[in-house]
Amino acid sequence: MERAVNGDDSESMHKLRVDVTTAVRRVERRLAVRLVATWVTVLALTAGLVTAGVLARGYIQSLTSSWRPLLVSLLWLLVAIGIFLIISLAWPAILNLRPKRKPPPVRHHSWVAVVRRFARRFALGDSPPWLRVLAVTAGLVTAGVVALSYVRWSTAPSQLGSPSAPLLLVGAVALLAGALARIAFRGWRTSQERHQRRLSEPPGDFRAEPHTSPVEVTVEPEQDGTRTFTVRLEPHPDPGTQTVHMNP
Amino acid sequence: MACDLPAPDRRAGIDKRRVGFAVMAGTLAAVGIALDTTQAANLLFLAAGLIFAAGFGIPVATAAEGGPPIGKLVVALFDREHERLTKRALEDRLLDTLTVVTGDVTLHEPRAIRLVGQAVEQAAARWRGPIGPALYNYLLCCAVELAVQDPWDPPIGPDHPQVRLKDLTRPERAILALRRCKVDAADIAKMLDWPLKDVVEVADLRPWSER
Repeated sequence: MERAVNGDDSESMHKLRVDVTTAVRRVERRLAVRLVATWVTVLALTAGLVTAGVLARGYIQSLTSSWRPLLVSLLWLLVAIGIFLIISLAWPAILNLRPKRKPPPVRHHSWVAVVRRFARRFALGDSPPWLRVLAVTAGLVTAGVVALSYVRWSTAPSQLGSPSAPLLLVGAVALLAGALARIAFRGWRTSQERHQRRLSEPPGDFRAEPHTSPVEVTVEPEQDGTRTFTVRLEPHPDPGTQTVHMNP
Repeated sequence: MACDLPAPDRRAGIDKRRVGFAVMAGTLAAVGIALDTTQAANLLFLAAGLIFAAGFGIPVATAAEGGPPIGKLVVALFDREHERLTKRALEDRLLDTLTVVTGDVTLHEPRAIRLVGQAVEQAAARWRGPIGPALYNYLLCCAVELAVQDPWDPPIGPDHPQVRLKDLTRPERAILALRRCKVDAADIAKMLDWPLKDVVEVADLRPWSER
């Protein structure tokens, strides 16, 4: 305090200081109690959700009708969607967390080069994205069917009823198809943006140079029969997209 | 006067990472329901519950209540001495500001200290949230509100150190005092419920030597 205070004021100030400290401690204690109560509620809610999951599992496992495979299929579909969502949510974080370094050069004998050559050979490299998605999904489904047939032939009849293997396969295929569709959509959007950018770019033989001389247009004769225009550009409010017509 | 408590933002703690944890827990639970083997299913349910509680439920609930993140809470628990000193320094600065402002508005030191005491009681009873700058701003706002609305005008002699402030209205005295304590003009306008333009237009008092 800048002002001089007498003895009474000094005592009052000390009391006030104690009051502030006590009040802050009281607020802190109340916040701690409320936080603990909230955490206990969250834990109770989580326990309730886990119990609900256990009960749902018991109910689904007890079903004998055709509802059971249907419900289990739906669950695997949910799992696939969940995995896809997690990958989608985590992808930017993964990209940001990685240390920024130059990608290694692609050597002729590296596996990347081999995959590229393979894709180019089967016309997948330059094909439209939907064809790539279709081809890869078809390949996965075929591989899954072959694997499933092999499992059916090689296992005992008692294990054939287990729906996990085919449903897992369906889930994996759905997941991969979704991921590929996303990649294809991104690729399509990027190509659209590139196309738009290319349209908005000036033609290659149009040149702009900054000059500090007064505004003037000069025409210089050239030996090759063409003319070169030198134009000084000045900053001005953006009038939007302008079309330049060149008359011969 | 507009000393409102900050509205609790229930969605403050929901971010992409926490939603990711919730989705992961849901996915694990779905796998647990769909699996045939009971032992694996139980483990999956347990993992789902833990991920849901630790990754989504508790952080989101803590943020909604205005509490600090768990990491900061743990650090504060382990470094209590540093925390106490920081808080003490903040409290001292706040107390200084409170007494200067209320003193300049009421022009009576003991009255100002009593008003600050009332403001502290009032703020502590109403406040729901973390201890931090927001609480201190609220406390300052309560003190200014009480000082501006205080009906008692003390008799001031010509040799009183704050006699120059006598001709000003109480809100104007509050503006000058808060400005002296480096409070932002926008915050002053909010505290007094005045337009920002009017707050800025209140001229500072010139020192005696310039008069």
